[in-house]
Order: sequence, then structure tokens, then C-alpha cells
Amino acid sequence: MEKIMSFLKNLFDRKIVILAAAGTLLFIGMAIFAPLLAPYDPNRQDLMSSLAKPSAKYLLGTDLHGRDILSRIIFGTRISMVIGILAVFIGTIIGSLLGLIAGYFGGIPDLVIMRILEAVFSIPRIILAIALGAVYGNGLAILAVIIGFSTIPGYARLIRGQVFQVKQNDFIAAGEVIGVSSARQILKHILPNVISPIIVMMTQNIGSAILTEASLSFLGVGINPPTATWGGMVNDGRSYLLTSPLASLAPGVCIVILVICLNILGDGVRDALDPRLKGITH
Amino acid sequence: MHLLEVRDLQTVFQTDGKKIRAVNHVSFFTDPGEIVAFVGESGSGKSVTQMSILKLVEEPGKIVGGEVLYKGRNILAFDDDSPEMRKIRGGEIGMIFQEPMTSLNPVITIGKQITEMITGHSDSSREKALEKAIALLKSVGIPDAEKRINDYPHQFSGGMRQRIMIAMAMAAEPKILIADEATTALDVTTGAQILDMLQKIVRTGNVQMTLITHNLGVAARYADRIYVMYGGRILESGDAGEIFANPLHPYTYSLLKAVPRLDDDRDRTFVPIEGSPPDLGADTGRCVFYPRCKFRSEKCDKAGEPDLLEARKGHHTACHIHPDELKALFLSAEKNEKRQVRQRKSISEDNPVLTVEKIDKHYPVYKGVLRKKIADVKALDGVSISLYEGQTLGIVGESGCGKTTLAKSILRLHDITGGSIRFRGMDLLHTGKRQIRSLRAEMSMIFQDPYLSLDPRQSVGSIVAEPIIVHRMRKGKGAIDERVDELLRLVGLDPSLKTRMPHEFSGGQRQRIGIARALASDPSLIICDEPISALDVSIQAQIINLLEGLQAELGLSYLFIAHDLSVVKHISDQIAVMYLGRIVEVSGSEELYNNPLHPYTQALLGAIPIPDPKAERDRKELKLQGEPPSLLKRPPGCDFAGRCPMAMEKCFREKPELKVVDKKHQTACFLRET
Amino acid sequence: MKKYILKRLWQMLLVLFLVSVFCFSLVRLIPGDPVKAVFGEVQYTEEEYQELRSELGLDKPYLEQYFRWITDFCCGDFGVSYTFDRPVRELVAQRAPITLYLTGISLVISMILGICAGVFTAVKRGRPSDTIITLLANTTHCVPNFWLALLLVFLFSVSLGWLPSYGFAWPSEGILKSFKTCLLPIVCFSLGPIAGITRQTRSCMLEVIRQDYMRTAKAKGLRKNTVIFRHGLRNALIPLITFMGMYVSTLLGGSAIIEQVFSIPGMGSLLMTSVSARDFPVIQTCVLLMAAFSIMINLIVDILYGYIDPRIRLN
Repeated sequence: MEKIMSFLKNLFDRKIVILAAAGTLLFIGMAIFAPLLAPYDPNRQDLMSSLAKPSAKYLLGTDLHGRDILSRIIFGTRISMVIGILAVFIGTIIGSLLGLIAGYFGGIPDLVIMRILEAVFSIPRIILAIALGAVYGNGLAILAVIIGFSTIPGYARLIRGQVFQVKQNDFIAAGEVIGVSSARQILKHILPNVISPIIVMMTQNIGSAILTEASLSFLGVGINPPTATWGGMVNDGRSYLLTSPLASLAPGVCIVILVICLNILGDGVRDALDPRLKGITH
Repeated sequence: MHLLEVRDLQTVFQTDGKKIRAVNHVSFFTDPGEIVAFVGESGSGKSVTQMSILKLVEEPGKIVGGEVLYKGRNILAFDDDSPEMRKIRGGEIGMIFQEPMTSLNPVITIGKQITEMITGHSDSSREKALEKAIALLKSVGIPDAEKRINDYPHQFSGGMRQRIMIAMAMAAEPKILIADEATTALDVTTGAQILDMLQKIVRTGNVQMTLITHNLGVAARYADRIYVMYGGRILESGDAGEIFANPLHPYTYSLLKAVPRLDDDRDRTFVPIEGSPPDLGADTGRCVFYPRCKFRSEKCDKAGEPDLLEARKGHHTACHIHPDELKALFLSAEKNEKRQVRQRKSISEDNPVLTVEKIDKHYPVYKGVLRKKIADVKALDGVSISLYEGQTLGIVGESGCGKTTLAKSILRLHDITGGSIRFRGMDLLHTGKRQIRSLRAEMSMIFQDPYLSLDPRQSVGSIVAEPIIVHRMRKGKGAIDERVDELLRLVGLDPSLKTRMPHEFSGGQRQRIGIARALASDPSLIICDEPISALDVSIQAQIINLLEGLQAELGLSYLFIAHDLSVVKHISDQIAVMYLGRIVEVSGSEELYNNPLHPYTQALLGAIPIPDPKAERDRKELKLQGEPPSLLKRPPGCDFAGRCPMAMEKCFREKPELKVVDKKHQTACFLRET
Repeated sequence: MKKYILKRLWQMLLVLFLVSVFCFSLVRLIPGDPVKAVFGEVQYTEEEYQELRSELGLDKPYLEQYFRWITDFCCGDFGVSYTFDRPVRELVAQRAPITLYLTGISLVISMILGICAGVFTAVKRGRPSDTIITLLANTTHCVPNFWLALLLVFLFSVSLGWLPSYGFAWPSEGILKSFKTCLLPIVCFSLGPIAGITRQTRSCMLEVIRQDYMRTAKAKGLRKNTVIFRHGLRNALIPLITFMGMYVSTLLGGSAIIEQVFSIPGMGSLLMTSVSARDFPVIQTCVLLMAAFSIMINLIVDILYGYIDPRIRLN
């Protein structure tokens, strides 16, 4: 408890982090209370007012099918949030596990795991997601799995490196001298010492998972229409940039703001967990 | 006018709202041709003082006051990147740093690193500079200098790199040479060679050298004058002879009493300086040594920080107590100390705890794409030792001699290639995994670095409890807690601190935690791998005394691995000297010091300086050249033959076996065979 | 060094093999019947079904299928595209150079600008110029490139009308035209990597500045710039180089999006067209070729790494 308090105190030491946390909370609130907040059903078509300019009725205007852009943005938050968080969890759990095994045992397991991951890593992340999306179709859960899968090599590499470093320490040798089992070594001595980079990478990766989802939805290989997604909305509005730029620009602004908030928060978490790094990377 | 005169220098480090006064009103001077030593423990400000002179202190450090007069000119007034400052850096004042492994740029050839120093400080051409660089490398003893000039730092050993550092520092012919713990990272025999060379450079070139060191022996052997630093202040200064013979500051006096000396009587008890190094962030308005000073008086509490004043001619001290009064205090302390005679333990020689017989540890060397085995690296080659109940066996040798490999082999942390290890009569190599696990309770280990050997994410209580839990020595949380408290008290720590994390403790306290963990499983044998070499000198005595006390109380047997012979001599009953994976000499501790038989042992002893200039002057020593050969190129004859001044023709052909020379004294040398 | 390169080559072949297995499995992993999946919603007869099945080689054991596919692939026979009804090789030969041209230029630009900005900010650490550039880099890092592309199109093509919003022209088709068509895509390609490289260079540099040898260099009386560039940058480049492979990968991935937005006939847009048409031979080829390219770049990076770091070269 004391540790958590001091972590929070460190985390919210800088004003910008408080701001970013507030922004993130705002988006989370939007996602949870979307049905209450959105003025209209996101898929309600008002064909009479297609491509309407912003007005009191439609605060951000409407799209080609006369759907309220504001409502679609609010509902789009759900997709981004759910996929971002889900993908990161999938990637972290599998990636960390593989990294731990490769790093702790070394030798053959390390060789096999790392070569396979290197193969996955050599395919550009977005291309990998597109190819898998093309094969497995595009549901919410599948998309999250695909995006999560594409981040596994990153996690595994990071954790493997960290485990190697921790293993060099004498306290691991001390455990061996005492007769501590491998399972206890990993769970009690190695995992706690690599947990902060895992958390840091998790917070930093939510943003990039959201970006990947948006890119895929933009390309039309993400979530199927008519479900409202930010990336999909940017794509829908492309053809009417001149007449109603907000249809494309507004969801884009949301993506940028959410990702910036998440990244600042991620950097904040890193600094709070490892004060030594403060200011070295920004 | 002095060559260098520093007046009232102050450097602070501003971190987390705290102002650490690393250099606190420091004044000193140096003259041409003399060797001045700055002696102090880590955090005493001795390095920062010298860095400040060249304005090399990095953020968050800042020089906030004082003057540095070089030939009468205040160099602190120069801009950081100005031509004047750059001319002084390297050109007038050269520096040699502690870590030869990290102080040279890894991606630039040594030739370029030296020549850029020459061309930067003179208008000589590249070719001329290169010629000079080769000459310099030759003069510092780099073989094949012409060929090796294009090599990179990682292709050289630590000792060679430090020689390269020296060549570089000398390249622009500076008037002052500052050596910042220049030999601390090196083996004793290599370090002695380097310091001898530096001394020669100073004496022949009329250069002034400042030695920064924590090693009182080094200061005694080489320095003309000494400044003793503690907590950012100079506490005492004067001629080396004076300081060692007549210390006039309680800190200097206590330090001399706390460190083991090679020429000590084995029964001398060390008088540790209790407490921990000062917190420089807090301004107490008192003498920095006050909290740990045994001789403090009421005056010290009220009179503020003492100034450095001349007590005798050329001998300054910063103490409120009058020198004559101090002398009397020291004398009565000594009388007290003599009364506590160390108890000698009785050893039964027929009860071996551990017998290691002719063990080998070979690492295969592979070559080519098919990874064909081409050779073995023999890290341990036929090593035999025995350790008796309640006894301490010291293992000494320089880095790479196999002493840690030996420890790991005994603990079965890796497989060995051949030989046998018996612990309490049980064959360790032919026991099942389960039995090995239960044996782990019987043997434990104390590690060198107390910062790396404690899991930073576990509380002290849980670290100490781990062996108890793993070996199911106590059942139930209450019983375990009780045992942890008992162990912490045993090593002199307050049990209420057990919920704290390791980083909240000082180095000495952390080592106590490591000892408590080692004791937790009620072992009969503890392997101590350099347990004090990472600690400050004033703390070392605390740990040695603790280890000796525990041995007497619990009847433990120690295998004590160290490179510092003065400590090993004090704590060990028997000593084995290792060289290149083989044991070259075994004997009783006292006997080994009085009558070393193997030339390597003689050289090793000779390389260790004694913190007493008078004793230093009377020593005859065997000076060693070169460095141990690589394990990959083990010579066909005696491993030491190539460096041995007494080597005979036979030594290069045959390997001498370890043979009994007289009662309880064995050595592997043909000179001793008749 | 030779041994090191050989080792890398051997590892590269292994990774290439694994990627090829992945690409091969891609089609076979389609849930349900891959043949049906290829037809998608198109109506087909039993005859057509069997024909496609044997054309895909699905009537043979997997191992044999793989060997046939991989030997064909190595000989340059990538199969035939369903949608374009042309050999995939021809399609790739036409489109790959465009993607390589654009990503290559972008890589060079981002390396140069990113490293310069990174060194600059590291040296000026804590000053206003550092804060501004670092903030800019951090923000750019969060902007999705498809949206950036739209924004630029909106600004420079739609609103101002200065630059075309789509198309591609080689320099041989007129320098000015080529410049105008390539400018926006290259900016879109580069901005992300510039931001990333700036951040990484900055942190590598800050790490290097703390090293002992930097203090040694300063104590030698060298000029500040000599210390930073001769002693610092070369060391900072070592970890940076390893990221280069990653950026090539990112750029190739970005081609799928940016070529789509600007209607550039490159590999990325080819892949996207095939994905929507479920044209599997093309998808397979695109993925495998992109992976092979990034593996090759990684090999070059590793060799470069060995060249810059003598500790690797000489061991």
C-alpha cells in the first residue's frame, strides 16, 4: 500500500501527467457511458441531412448517410479502448512468458523462441496484421488477438534482455546456493525485478495498439462497417474533405489526443517506477 | 608560489532538493617533483576535489566557490570550452582514471586516442605524433607497440589499458599528473608495477603527481605528503612519515587501527570505526567525524566545524582537541585494546568438513561452423584442499586464478570435469539431486558485492527467511519471524528493520544482512567470496570482527576467498595460494607470511604495501614483471615460469607437483625440491 | 568478422525459412475450406472448385505442397493473380521499385534529420530548444500516418491546390512532376521515423555522454564538438543502428497506408487490393517479399554494426 502511494505521488509529480491522466479518464468515461452521452444512435441515418454542417442539432455535423458524427466518435471510443487494452494484455502475457523462458533457461529454448519471434518480427507489424486479418476475418476479438500477436516479439525481446541482466546479479546465485527451485526463482526473484519494464511497456503500447487498430479500420480490414470506429470514420470522410472536413478530421484529432495522453502517462509511469531514468528519454 | 594552489574550493551536488556538499572548503597545494596522496573512503570528496580542479564535474554537480591557482593563475575563471582551459586539461594537468575498462573509448584505436592528445596540444604532424605515441607506449611497457598501435582497447588486458591511459596522459607532457584510484581495479601485482612506473616518471621528469586512493598502504609506499579527507573536508595533512607515525586526527588514528596490516601480529584485534559514513546533505554545524569519533568531547559538540590548523611544523589537523591531549587519549585507548586478547580456537585436525581432491574444471573451446572441439580451457587443474571443523581456510590469488570457480564447484553450482569433493564424508559428485538440496542447508555463501547479492524487491525479513522456508527449518509464520529476529540480532542489526528494503541500508549493513541469510539454514560451512572487498576500509573491520565472533560462537568453518592477503592472513588458519587454476602453495597462515616458499607467493606478498612508511622502507621484495598468461595459452612447464626471476631450464619443461616441504607446508616449485 | 557474417547469414536463412513457412501456412490456415474462401462470394461449379483446388496444390500432402511452392518461389514463379489474371512476378516487378524508391528516400531523410535533431537535443538537454523539439517529436509520434496524409492532402491539395493529391511519377517523367507527386508521400513516410529516431538518438546520446570515456576525452582538453562527435556519436550510433532495421519494417508497413491514400501503384496498394479481393497468391508474395527485404536489411545492419563496433568485428 505504501509502495502504491509513493508510486502515485511520484507519478503525479508533474502537471502534464495529471493532465494526461485526466484526458485518458475522460476517454474511458466516454467509452463506458457512450449510450448516455451520445445524443443519437451512432447508426441512425438521417438521409435528409446528409453531410450536414455543424449545427445545434448535429454538433459536429453528419456524414454521407446522415449519421451524427459526435455520436459515432463517442461510440468509436469503445472500440479503440477495448482493442487497445485487450491487445496489450494478450501481447504482454504471451510475450513476457516467452521472454522469461528464453531469458531464464537460455540455450535451446532461447534459440528456438528467439528465431521464431525474429521471423514474426521481420514482417512489418501492420502488414502482418493485414495478412492475418485477411485470413481470419475481422471481428473485435480477432482483431485484438491479431494486434496483440504482432506485439509479442517486442515484449519477449525486452523481457529476455531484462531477465539476462537480472540473472547476472548475485542474488540469483545466492538463491541457487540456498537451493531455491527454478519456479521460485522465476516467480519470486526474477519476475518482481522485471515487472516495472513490463508495466512501462504496457502503458506505452496501448497507444500504439490503438494506432494499429485505427490504421486497420482505415484500410477497411479492421472492424466491419457500419460499426463506428475512428479509423473507419476517417476513411469514410475522405471523399468529402472539401465539403465536410470535420467528418475525417474530428475522429483523427481524437486518436491523436488519446494517444498523446496515453504516451505521456506511459512515460510518467516509467519515470515513477524507475526514477533513475528520469529525463533521459522523453 | 606553488605549482598548484587550491583555496577554499567548494563543490555541491544538487539532487532532489538536497544539497550534497561533496567538497567543503578544501585548500591545498602541490609542488613540482612531489607525490601527494589524497586518502579517503568513498564519498570523502577526494575524487570530486580533483575533478573540480579541471572543471570536469558534471551536472548536477557545481563548483560554487574557491580558487584554483595554477602557476598563479586562477583556472576556474576560464570558460569551460575556452582554449585556455583546454590547454590546461591534458596539456598542463593530465589525468588517469580508475576504470581502465571504461575510460578508453571502445570504438577508437589506441593510436588515434593518443595522437589526438599530441596533435591537440602541439603543432606536430600526424606522422610525428604517431612516432611519439609508439615511443610512449614502449616506455610504459606495451610489447610490440608498433603493431599494437592500431588495436582497440578491448584487445588489451586491464593492466595494459591502464598503461595506455598513462601513455596518453603523458603524451602532452603535463606538469601535473592526477591518478584517481588508478590501480584499484587491477590485481595487486599489476597495480604495484603500474605505481612503480608512475613513481619513476615523477622522479625522472620532475612532474608532480597526485594519487587519489583509499588504500593507506599505497599512500605510505609512494607519497611524500598526504591529505586525509573525510566527508568533503580535509581533516589532516602533512608529511607521509609524520601522518603515519603521529596521526593527529582521531579519524586518521582510527583508520590506521581499523585496517589489517600485512606485518600485523595475527592476534591483533581490529578496532572498527563504528557507525556509517556521514550524510553530506545535512548541515550539522559540527565536525564531520563527530558522530563516529571515539575521542570527542563536549567542546566538539558546541564549537562548530574545526578549521585545518597547523599543529606542528607542516602538519595540519582539523580537530578541536589539543594534539597533546589527543596523544594521551590514543595511548590509553591502546592500553585498553591490548587487554582484549583474541581467543584462539582449538582445531582438531582429524575432522575434515570438506575434502576436495584433484578437481578439474575444463571449458571446451570450439572452432569453426561445425563447432569442433579444439581444446580445453583448464579453469581448475588438479586442485586439492581440506578444511577442518571450526577452521578457516583462506584462498588467495589474483583475478582469473580460479578461486571463484573453485567455490562454485564446491557448491555444485556447475559440474566439474574430474576429481572428488567430499563434504562431511559424503561424496558430493555422486549424490542425487534431492540430497544435494538438503546439503545446501549445510553449506552457504557470503557474496562480494552487498549491492548485487540482495534481491532489491524483497524486504530484509523475507531475504533472511528464504533459506528457512526453502529448507522447512521452521513451521509457521510466527516461528519463522522469531528465527529471523534472532538472526538479525546475531549479526548486529535491529530486528525491527526487517520490513525495510535493502536499498535503505548502507554497504556494511547490507553485508550483515547477507551474513544473516547465510546463517539462516544453520550451516556448518560458509564460503566467503571476497566478503569485504567491496566495503569501505572503516567498515571492513566491523565485518571481519563479526565473522570471527560468529565462528567462535557457532563453530563454523570458513572457506575465505580473497585477493587481499592482509585480511586473509588475519582471519585464516591455513592459506592456499592459487595461480592460473592450480594451487602453488599451502601452509599455515603465520608460516606463509614468515617463510613464503613459492616465488609467486613472495611476489604477491611483496606487492602489498604496508600502511607504514618506515616498515615499507625496510622491505625486501620480489618485483614481478608482466601479467599471468591466458588460460588458453597455458605454458607447458610451470605456469609461473615465464614471470619467475628464478626460473630454471627445467621449469619451462615440466610442471611441478604440489609437494610437502616440511610439516604442514606444501609448495609446487622445483626450487624447493631436493 | 568473416565468422560473424557467416553466423548471421546462417541465422538469416533460418529466419527466412520460418517466414516462408508462415506465408505458406497463411492460405492453409483459412478457417474452413480455403478453396471456398478463395471464391468468397463468387458462384462456382464443382468443376471450377476442383480445378482451383489442384491449382492451389491442396490435393497433395502439405510437405510436398510446401516444397513445390518454395522451389517455384525461389525460381521467381510467384503464381498467378486471380484478380489481375497475370503472373504475380510481373505485378511485383512493376510495383516494388516504386515502393523501394519512396521508402528508400524517406529512410535516408529520416536518418539524417533524426540523428541531427537527436544529437542537438541531447547536447542542449534541458534548454528550451530541447524541450520544443522533444515535445514536437513526441507529438508527431502519436499522429497516425493515414490521418497525417489526409491532413496534408486537405491543406496542400484540396485547400491550397499546390500539389496533386494522388499519383506517382518517376524523375524520368519530369523532375518537377516527380517532385510534386512524391513530396507529400515522402513527408508522410518520414515524419514518424524522424520523430522516433530523434527520440532514440537523444536517449542514446544522453547515455553515452555519461560514460567514463567521455570524461577522459574532455580531460584531454579536446574541443567540446570533438568530444561529442568523434567520441560520442560513434558510440551512440551502435545501439541506434539496430533500430534501423525496425524503421525499414515500419516504412514498408506504412506503404500499405500511404500508397492507398495517394493512389500510388506500389507494393502496399497492391497488397491492399489483393486483400479486398482475397487474391492469396499476391498476398503471400507481398508478405514474404517484404519480410525477406526487411530480413536482408537487418543482415546489412548487423554487418554495419560489426563494422562500427570493433568489439564485435574483432571477436
